Amino acid sequence: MTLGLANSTHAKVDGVDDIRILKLLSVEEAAITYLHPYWTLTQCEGGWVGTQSEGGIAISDVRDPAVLAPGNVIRLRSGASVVTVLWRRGARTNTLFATERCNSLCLMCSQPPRVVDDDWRVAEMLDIIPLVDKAEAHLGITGGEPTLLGDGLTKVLDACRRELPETKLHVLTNGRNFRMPNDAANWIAAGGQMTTWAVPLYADVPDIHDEVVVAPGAFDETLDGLYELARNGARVELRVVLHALTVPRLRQLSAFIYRRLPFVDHVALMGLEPMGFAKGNRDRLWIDPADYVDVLSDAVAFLANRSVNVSLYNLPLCVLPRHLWPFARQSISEWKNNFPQTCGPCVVKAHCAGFFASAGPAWRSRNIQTISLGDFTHAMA
Amino acid sequence: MQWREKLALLLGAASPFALDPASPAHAQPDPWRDQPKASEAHKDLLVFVDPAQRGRLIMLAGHRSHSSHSSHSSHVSGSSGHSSHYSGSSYSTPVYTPPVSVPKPKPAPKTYTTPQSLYSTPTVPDDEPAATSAEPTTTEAKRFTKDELIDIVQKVQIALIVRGFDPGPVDGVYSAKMKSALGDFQAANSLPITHLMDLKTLKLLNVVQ
Repeated sequence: MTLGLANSTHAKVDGVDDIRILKLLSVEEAAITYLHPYWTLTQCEGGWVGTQSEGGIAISDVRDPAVLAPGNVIRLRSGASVVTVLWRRGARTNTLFATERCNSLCLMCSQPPRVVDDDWRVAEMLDIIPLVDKAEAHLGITGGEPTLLGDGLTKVLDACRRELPETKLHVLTNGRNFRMPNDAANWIAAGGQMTTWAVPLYADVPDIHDEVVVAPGAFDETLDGLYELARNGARVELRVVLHALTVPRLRQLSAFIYRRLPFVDHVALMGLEPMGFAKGNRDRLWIDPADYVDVLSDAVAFLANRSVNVSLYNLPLCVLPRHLWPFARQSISEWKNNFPQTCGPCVVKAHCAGFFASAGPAWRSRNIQTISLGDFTHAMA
Repeated sequence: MQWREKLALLLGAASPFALDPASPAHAQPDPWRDQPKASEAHKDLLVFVDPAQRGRLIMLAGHRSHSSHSSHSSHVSGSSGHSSHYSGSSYSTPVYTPPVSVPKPKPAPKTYTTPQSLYSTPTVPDDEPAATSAEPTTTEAKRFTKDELIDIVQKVQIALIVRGFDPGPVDGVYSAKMKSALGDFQAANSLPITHLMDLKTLKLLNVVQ
């Protein structure tokens, strides 16, 4: 999840009925917190304790104590020894998981959806949100497809605006359900000015987009949704995952975005994450970034020259030509940002997105290399 | 990341770089004197705002002197390993020699017990060269060794290049071009345009955490 820490650990848990969402506090913070003791556990020798009047919840014998730190919001279940961290203080990215359900089935989905009834997640999110630090800068909402929660999403966004008015929200959605004007207006109004809606678009033509998301008609629905977002003044980010199906029309897609979707705030071009469904679809999806940097350069230049914000994610600096470096962002999620041994002496490592080293050589660009100081001895062209 | 630890240690430590007029030294040409505006009043070239002491500055490098004081040559001890000594008054011109060959970042010792173990016993002289009056230095202000300085400047140069700014070649020299690139970076990120490697700038450049 974040800070290189696991998002759960085992421990001895006492005093929990059913499920409880709780915030961990240091002794000092517990003394001054505005939170009701029902929602808090206080750090103590060897674990965390709640007040006796609230049932005497206690966590002890924590297997990995580093996972639990003051400020974190955790979930405890009765009869289970797992302590799950739902929000972590100080993490670069915290995400609320809205639902496992999705109406698309993208070939490269990193979080394969499941058909489950998980509306309980709305209640859980509504419990978590008031416990999040008010100073949190960014909070993501992801899934699955969050709009499948319907009014549940409206409630979650309302709660965020009420409890975390300073926090920027980043909602990942395929945008298809925004084609329905009433729902769209409700969600967008609930999200307010602090919300960015991040919508994937994989081609300028329906065939390719629908093939990638494995949902006939999805392209039209997403476009309708995008226009509905624009009509309501929402902040929209477009996301394009770069792989063998999307790269061939990337130039056309960037022109399409500029001409047809001029309201877009930010275009995020993202390297493929070798996880989830992508692993099983490697033959259809894999293309060495070294083979698409020319196309990518054209697309980035086209958009950047027209004042569209463009960013590159999940692509290590060594596979990108120097002129694309200013567009490369370090991976949003820290767990992605990992480096194999060959990167040890690299001088741009501190600025690099890293890559999914654990995915193995089949997913590794042939251009992965160590960049040394010698590569910088001459002034930039 | 060892150099970051080193940086943190240095910031938290007492001055490891003592003023030692008796240190063996030999005069070296000052490359900065060739830079434009070298005749301006002396000022800190590199300044680091110590997070622990708000409003105070830790100097990373010496100052550029008014040209009329250039005769007060001061010296960097040539081969004293980890310790580097400046001599002279506050108007001195610390000598700084660019590396002949660009040193690769070398792995630092894994463990540090105390900063003192790395450096010669720190002594804080009364007449330690202070920063300009506008930029108060703490009495604990420390100097980095030449190699550390080059290392840090190189890291900043690389960070600027990665972000699309052109500090010139990555040579560890705080050149006029680098200064201008720093200013451009600061302007582009709504930072105070100091042209200096201050803490906010270094953080945004991901050179310090």
